[in-house]
Amino acid sequence: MDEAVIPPSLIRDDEVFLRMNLAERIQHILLIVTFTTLIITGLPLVLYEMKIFKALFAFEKAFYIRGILHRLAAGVMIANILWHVAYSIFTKRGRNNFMELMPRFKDAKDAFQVFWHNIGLTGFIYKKGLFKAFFDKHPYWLFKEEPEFGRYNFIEKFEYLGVAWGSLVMILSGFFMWNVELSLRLFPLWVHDIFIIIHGYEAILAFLTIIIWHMYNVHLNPEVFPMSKVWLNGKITGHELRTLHPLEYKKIAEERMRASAKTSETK
Amino acid sequence: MKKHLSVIARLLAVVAMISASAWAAGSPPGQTNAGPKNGACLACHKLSVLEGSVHGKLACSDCHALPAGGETKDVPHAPKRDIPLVDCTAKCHREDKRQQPGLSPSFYADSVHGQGYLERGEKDVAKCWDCHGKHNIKPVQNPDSVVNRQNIPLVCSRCHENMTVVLKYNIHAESPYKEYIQSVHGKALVSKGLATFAAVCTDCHGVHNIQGIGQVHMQAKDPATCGKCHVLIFDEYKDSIHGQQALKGNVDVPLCVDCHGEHKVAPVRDAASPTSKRNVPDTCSGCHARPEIMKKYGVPADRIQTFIESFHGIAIGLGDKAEANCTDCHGVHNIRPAIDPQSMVHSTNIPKTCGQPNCHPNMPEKIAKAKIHRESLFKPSGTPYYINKILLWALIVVVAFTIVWFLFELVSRRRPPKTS
Repeated sequence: MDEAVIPPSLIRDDEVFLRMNLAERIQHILLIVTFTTLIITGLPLVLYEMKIFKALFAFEKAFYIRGILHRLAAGVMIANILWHVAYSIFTKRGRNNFMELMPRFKDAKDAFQVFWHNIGLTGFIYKKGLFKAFFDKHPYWLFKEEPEFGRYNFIEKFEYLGVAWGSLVMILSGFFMWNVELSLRLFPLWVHDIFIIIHGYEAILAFLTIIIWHMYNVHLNPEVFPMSKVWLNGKITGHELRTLHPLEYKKIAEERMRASAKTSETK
Repeated sequence: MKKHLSVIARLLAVVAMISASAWAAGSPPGQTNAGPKNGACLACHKLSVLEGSVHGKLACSDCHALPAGGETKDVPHAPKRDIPLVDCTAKCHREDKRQQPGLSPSFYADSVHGQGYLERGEKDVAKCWDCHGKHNIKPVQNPDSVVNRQNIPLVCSRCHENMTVVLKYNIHAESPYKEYIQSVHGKALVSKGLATFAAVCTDCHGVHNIQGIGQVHMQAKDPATCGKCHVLIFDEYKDSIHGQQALKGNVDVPLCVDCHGEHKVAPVRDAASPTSKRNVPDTCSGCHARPEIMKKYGVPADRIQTFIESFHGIAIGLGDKAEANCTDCHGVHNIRPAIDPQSMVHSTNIPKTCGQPNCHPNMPEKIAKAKIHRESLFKPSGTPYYINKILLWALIVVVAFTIVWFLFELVSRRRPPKTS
């Protein structure tokens, strides 16, 4: 699988690929809206001592409206998730995306490699002339290169699975918090307390993950700064595909090469 | 300027007295002392208000005794400073204490005002005429009377809104009138016009028997005082754990005024009221968050803290009005200890208490066995505590790792780009 095999003319740098189709973009936007609403209407209950949140509830019916909005957003989010699940089961593209998103051993290796590459410690040691024999024999440990990613890199997979896991936890604990009487019928009070604790921590975790990981990757990251527009137009160029998702780039190129070989055979 | 004027006025008065004495010398004897025949005095003292006064028929000398040896016809009579102060109880107003409590003037001597005036000789404490007026005394039932119910708050405010008086006598209520006017009682009197119904100062503080704040069982703080009007609430209160103790004279327990406030008694729906939905926990915490009091009665001192951290407490803290506060579960005036079978939080009553129609109508019976005030977040016991700790550390680790990750990511981005 050498790069030399792929002629640059096969995938032009300005060729446009569809990374997110309309359904995926709508799902993503719905997720943004519901997630933000849930955070704004929910976080004050976790960080109830913060003055800023007390200010948020300054007007008469504020807390009542908060409850309605929170449940409404939760309902929309659940519907959105159901749509996404159906989409991932019943459409070819959805199934393909889902399989691509599944974590593999390579992702752990990639994360490890990226981490040490960013630290650059072994490269520094090598430059200083230490353990030269070891590094010459095992150049992997120098972490000179960043790993090549497929359609989804390990951060994207982590975020997706994080949303999936988080949603499951939040929907379950939230359901029992919504129906406290049912919850207490089924469980002792301390289990219900655990639902409340988990719901709160998962909220903070989700909030921080989105703020730090996702906002970094789609906004601050120098490769896309100030914002990756994929979530709006769904488009990615051949150049971006080659630099950000080289494995997928190669996969597409190979498919095309095979196709062209087939057509030349039939000719 | 005022000083000058008063000096001039006094000079004029002296001149008038001299001329009046000349006139009095010519009048027939024996008439100077009779009630309607106060002419000799009235010649100088132009007191037309006397005509409408209940004392209009009295002789001046009935109240204003001249110093020993002095005669009414001696004009000018002795200077004011030598004339003994009026004593309304000397000849009249000496009804005994069988009257309605506090109403008899004979109580005055033991009141906070009477003690100040009679025992310590304080000049600016309330004396009979400071409240009742001097010469224009009218029947109490007359709306023009200064001591008619509708005028009482204003009369008291003449001294009690005066900061000089408040500071001099270290009176704990600094502006009771302004507070009263905003209170349910004040509004009932002023806005609703309930002159015979709305509580005025004297209804709580007493009339002639007003006691100072230092008195342990002063009338204004006595629940029975409020109970004169709020009869059914007092009935409820006196059987509650607070009320039982209060009636035994225990001053640790909350009396009506401790929760409702004093002059500024506000309705529950008023957000600023100490009994409003949001302020109740604060009000209760005045005692229930104080370990020294709670220890004395064997009540856990963390009841407020556990409430604040509970879902009910968080919602109340953020201004929710539908959520339960202390009184929604424990009762208001009928608070009883959990071991009392009549208590709302007795285990047999908890399902009913939680299951109030606006709260959790389908609450399962087993809630009765549950511990409601839980220290799950700060007492190292039980699964929730450890789950909380584990999640907290998991969160800290994830955030710390993320920060480390992005720190290096950003540093590595600053390195020169690879040449490939």
